[in-house]
Amino acid sequence: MNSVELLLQGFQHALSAQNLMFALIGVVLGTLIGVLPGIGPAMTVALLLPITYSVDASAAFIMFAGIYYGAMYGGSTTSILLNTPGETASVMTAIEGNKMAKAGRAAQALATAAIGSFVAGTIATAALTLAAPQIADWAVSLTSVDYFALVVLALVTVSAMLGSSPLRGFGSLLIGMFAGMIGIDSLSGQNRFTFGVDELTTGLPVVVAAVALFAVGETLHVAAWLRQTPPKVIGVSTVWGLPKEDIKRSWKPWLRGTALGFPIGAIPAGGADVPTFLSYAIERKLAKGKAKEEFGRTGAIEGVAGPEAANNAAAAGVLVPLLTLGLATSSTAAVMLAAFQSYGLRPGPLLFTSNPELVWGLIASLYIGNVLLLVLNLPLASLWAKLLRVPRPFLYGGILTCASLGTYAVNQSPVHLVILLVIGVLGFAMRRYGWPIAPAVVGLILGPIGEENLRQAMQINQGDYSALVSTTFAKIVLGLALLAVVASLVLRVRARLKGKQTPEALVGAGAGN
Amino acid sequence: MNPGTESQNPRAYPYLIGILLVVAGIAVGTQVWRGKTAPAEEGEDIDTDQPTNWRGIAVLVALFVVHALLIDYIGWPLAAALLFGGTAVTLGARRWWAVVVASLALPIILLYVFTYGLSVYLPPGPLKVLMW
Repeated sequence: MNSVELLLQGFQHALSAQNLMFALIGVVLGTLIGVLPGIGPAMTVALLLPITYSVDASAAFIMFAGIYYGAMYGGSTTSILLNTPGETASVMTAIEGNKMAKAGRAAQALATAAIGSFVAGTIATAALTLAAPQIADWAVSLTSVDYFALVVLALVTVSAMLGSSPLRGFGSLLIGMFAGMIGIDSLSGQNRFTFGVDELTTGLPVVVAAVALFAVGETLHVAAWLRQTPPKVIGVSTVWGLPKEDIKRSWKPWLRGTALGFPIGAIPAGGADVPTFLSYAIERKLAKGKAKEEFGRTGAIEGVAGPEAANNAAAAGVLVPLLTLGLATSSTAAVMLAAFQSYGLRPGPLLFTSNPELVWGLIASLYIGNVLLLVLNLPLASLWAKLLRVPRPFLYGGILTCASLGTYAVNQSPVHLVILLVIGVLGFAMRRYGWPIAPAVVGLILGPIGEENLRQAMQINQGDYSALVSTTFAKIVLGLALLAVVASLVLRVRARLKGKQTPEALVGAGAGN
Repeated sequence: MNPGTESQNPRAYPYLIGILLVVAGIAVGTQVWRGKTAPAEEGEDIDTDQPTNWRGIAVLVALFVVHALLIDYIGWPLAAALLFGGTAVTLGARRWWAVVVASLALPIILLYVFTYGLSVYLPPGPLKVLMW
């Protein structure tokens, strides 16, 4: 069967009344939680994971597809109306989007973000449909040596990502990889770093760790420095569409953003942040006349349209390595990967042959979720805007309660709540002292995958380390990883010599990945 | 022991990560020693110009520990009400009736949603009387 037939079967599966309802629930909850300030897509997905535990895997992943895309949409609303990007991928949207909102063009900013997300999401999902089966077919032939190289590339690029301190990014990654070793070693049956705590022998649950780092850490961080003045939310009336002139200005940035976002998201290196930075830089360079004047002052619509499209296209792109290789390159993808594992599923090339119904149902519901989001979001924009005014004491009380709920409901053990708190305090310390969180989450899930492949490779090659560069593919991938480190360092030094941390300098530093 | 088993045993990888962690730790420590700190993560709800509310953090941590320990005795919803209400008051909620209503309503709604909607068990504690 070719992928079109498989996709149609997926649609048949996803369009059943029950599954359509799951998609709708996922989309609404994803937007609802994602729009709340302080909650980015990764935290949204981690907090909502427990609600999928009672349904079967295929329904759960249909709901998940909705939550994933919904959280992305919700995040852009927050960035535009409140100027508080929930994650680095929305930083660029916040720059121009919030300026537009302040200049009274909030409706247009939201509309171009929503329609752009729809356009980019649909095109990128189509690209995913075409590319994923091919890559899965090819990936079957990859050896553990090749896999190890891919994991190294993903780890290196995630930690050398944007952010003020690559050294702390690397440290954060190592903390995650260390935490990933806790538990019984699968090959030898030895306990590692469990300190006699029974609950730790099965390993540190990635979802508990993610909820702790994001939700508990964020709440403590806010408790330390809660802003005493009420938030400046910009109100918006119902949005029905985009005026012709704005569509004319938006459609090219949408397409350019998609063209940047999908491929960069799809390579197992870097995730969704880089394309949004690149898209912003390109739109700013290309701006002429009126748009050029608006950039950085009253907000240019191109600067919202491009990065938002890039962000959503990359979100679909990230699913390519996730589904075909089982590799996560963003914290959101890491949580998704953990969700697969909790169902006993192992994403990778074999998933397409062992669970075709699940994979294609998931992909089909990405299309459906996109349509639902477009229909839901524009008319409900004013409602979402009201959510931004939720009193902060209740918001963070609710976040902490839901963090406890998710952890307790799954494990029924107070010990897991204590683990949640300990990691949450770590998450607070990391935020406070400028350590990025995402590398720790990615390291936690990729660390064990890396170790497994490394040890398999060693077993096959009798402990000969030179075997790690024995295949052409591994040589190329490890070369790219090295190049990413060197380029990142060079660009950072050059940016420092220039003396300013302008968005362009950040893009330069990011482009090295 | 030949090199093959050395690289395959469960110790090798922890040593590698451990060494890298120590190196990264020394590097960050040196940077901080020389006065190169990294800025704290920013957010719209965060104002880093004011003094740190360490007391608030200590209260939240204590509340969470009490919450975790009490679940086995008073059930999840009441323990959660304590956590929610305590957090809200610590973060500056002042209308006491709103705190009481919200801290009771949210856990009870979640209890119903999880028990009946999702068939996920949560110990109801004394609130068993509200279940059917």
